[in-house]
Amino acid sequence: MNNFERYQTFVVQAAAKEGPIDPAVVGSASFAYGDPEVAEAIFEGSVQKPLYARMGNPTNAYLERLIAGIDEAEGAMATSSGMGAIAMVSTAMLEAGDEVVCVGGLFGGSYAFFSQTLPRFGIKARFYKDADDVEITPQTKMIYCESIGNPNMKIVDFEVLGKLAKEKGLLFVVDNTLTPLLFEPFKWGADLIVYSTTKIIAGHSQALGGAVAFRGVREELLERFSCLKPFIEKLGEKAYMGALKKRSMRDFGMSMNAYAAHLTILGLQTLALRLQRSCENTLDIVRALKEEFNILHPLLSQPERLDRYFPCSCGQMFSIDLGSKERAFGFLKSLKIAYITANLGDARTLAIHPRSTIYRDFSEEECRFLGVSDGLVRVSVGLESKEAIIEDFLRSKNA
Amino acid sequence: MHKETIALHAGYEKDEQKTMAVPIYMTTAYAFDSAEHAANLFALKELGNIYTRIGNPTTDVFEKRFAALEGGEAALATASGMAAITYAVLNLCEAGDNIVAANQLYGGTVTLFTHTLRRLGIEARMFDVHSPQEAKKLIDEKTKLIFFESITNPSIDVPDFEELVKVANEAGIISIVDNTVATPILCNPIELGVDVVVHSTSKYTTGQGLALGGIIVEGRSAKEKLLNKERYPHFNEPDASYHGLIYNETPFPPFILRARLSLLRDMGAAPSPFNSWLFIQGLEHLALRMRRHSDSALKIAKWLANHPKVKKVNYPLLEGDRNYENAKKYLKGGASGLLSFEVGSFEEAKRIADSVKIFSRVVNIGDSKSIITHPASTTHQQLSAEELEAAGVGEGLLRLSIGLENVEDLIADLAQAME
Repeated sequence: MNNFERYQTFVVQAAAKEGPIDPAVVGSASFAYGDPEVAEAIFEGSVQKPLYARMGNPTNAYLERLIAGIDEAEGAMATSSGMGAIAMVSTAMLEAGDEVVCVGGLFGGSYAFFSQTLPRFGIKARFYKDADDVEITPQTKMIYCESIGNPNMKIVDFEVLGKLAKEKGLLFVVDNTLTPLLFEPFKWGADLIVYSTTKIIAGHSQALGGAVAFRGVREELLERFSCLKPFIEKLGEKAYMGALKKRSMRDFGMSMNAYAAHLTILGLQTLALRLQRSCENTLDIVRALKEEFNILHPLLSQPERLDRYFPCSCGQMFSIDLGSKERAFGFLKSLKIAYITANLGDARTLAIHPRSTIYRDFSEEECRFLGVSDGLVRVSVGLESKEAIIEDFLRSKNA
Repeated sequence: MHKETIALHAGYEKDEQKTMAVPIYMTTAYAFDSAEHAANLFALKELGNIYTRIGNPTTDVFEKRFAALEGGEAALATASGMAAITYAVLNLCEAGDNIVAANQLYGGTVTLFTHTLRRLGIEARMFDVHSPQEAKKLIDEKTKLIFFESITNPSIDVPDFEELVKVANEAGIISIVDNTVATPILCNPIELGVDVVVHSTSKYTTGQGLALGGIIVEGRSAKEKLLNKERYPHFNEPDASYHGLIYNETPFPPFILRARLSLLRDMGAAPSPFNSWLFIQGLEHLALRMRRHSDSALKIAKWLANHPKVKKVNYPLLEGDRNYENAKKYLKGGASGLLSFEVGSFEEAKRIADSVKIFSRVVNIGDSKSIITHPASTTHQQLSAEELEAAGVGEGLLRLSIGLENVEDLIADLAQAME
């Protein structure tokens, strides 16, 4: 069975066969414990019941089970946004004096977080184009990359990064907002997977959210992450959950709310269907337009890596380099189908000029490194008819 | 304008649908009119919606209304109260800096300050909230803020605002007050000279434990301090992560602007529009509720003070309480619903918590339903014996959050549990 079929069955069959089929939205901030012994046990960790909504709630837990399930992970944790997920992992696992290595293209928000915000708290980030360039120092604790570089559309060599993480005992974190239906980071040695569930998972620009999926802690990590030992003793394979909650979410409070969790659960039920359609659309559009535009997509630039890491497709995003800001603006103005917006993975086709918006804060040099040129337009293909999109793009080519 | 009026009107201009209730804008993204429009929004040349992680129209009404209630210039809502405290502190500090904070704080805040922020290179220097001079001695050139609660939780103290504000102002550092327990109805830190106010809106804002949330409010006095280039360089120098923006040189309140554009953008503890809507509903009857909470709590405090098994009652407006003078001076119309009392032992306290019938055993405060908590076995479990003592949490201490039930019913419930 292919991934799409397997996940589709798993997700719609996740509901209990007794009781409400659609999970209850539990918006409550707090939970009554019944008696003081139970209260003490919940705080101590020996009883697994909701403590306080900042640390989780039943609706989030349902979403977390689904996300862990599609990733075949030991568990997952939902957050208020995708950036919340990245911040939770970084602040739980790193401290002043540590270094993180970022590889490949990065979303502007993630680049700003690693290059500007973390250094204020003594955590240094170094950036590399691909896996072979990476240098590791005694202070390096973590490797971070995206499954497809946004918006430069580059695929990094995950196998090399996975081996490096194993040999050097480094935490390997992958932003796989594309979802495991297309790419499975755990297979290539990732320890933690972060998501912006706002994108294809929720799917309709209706709910902000993020998530982290984790596996068990690898033995090799314990030298650099002795802080994980007490959590392993207590929680075994779910040690990361304890570390993420107690070292970050409890104090920093980037918690998801039940309404967004519920909307995200509804989104997951149709994820496979939507993703299949938008991926097919994307590949056909890239093929149809490749002679007409300068298109950035692994199908054209890295076909071997695409085949190796992405058995079906690599998602609904592609970029077009129109050569100049003027031409990019003219193109966006002429498009009738695309919404100009700062989002990805919607049911609708979206487009944006990254240099003047998401990446406007970065220097020329940084943008060159991240592959954000003045004429670049990023596209996220929706569920519309591909013929209509192709026609709209061709008509706008010389606008 | 009076608080009751502000709570019903501020921040909302009806759109063409003329809805009386504020609409819920349940969206993450916003369509831009054109590529120029998008570029102008990101450059702050035009104001408008970009992405719900950094702003949303429903949340905007909640922020404006809350800022108006606090008498502040601007506000930023967050996913939780802890996120509000985190961003308020990280907005001013970086590795190598320190903060000066009262010992008498919510347990979660103590852990954040003394353990978690230390991993990010920020040192917390703690002082007794009743000794402003102790705070003064802890301040040096690396101190970025002084932090305390307006009514402390769970020790229920009311600090001497005048003295603490004086300490902060003489040193030229930002004062931050957590005003969760008092709410803007009973206490206005900004009027008392405080620069920044934070709240957990999970508490009295809805009054029903409906939703998790937090908010930061910037007072008008913050900017003048932030103009100090030596103490607060990142408000006065170009921010490379925001195309060289100098926060103090925009027309917007700089503290909130920076927290939104830098911290909320990068660290993402954004509130849900749905929760913002619930908070707006809660604000509409906040003034009514706070008076009822306060009246009932004072009656119960007086009743407990005469009970033979009670060693001590802490309620600021109880005559003879060490905080009585400060409460009279700084609180308006009541001292909120939080009180605590001490019984003989850990076991006795646990037994009482186990025997009440109306009170719920919950780790929360500020609900319409009354709550009992035994801090030593729950919220303050992570603290050492010394930290417990410093936070004013005895092993036999029980904390009550008095709800909106009939006060005679609540007294009867406590009476039967203490037999």
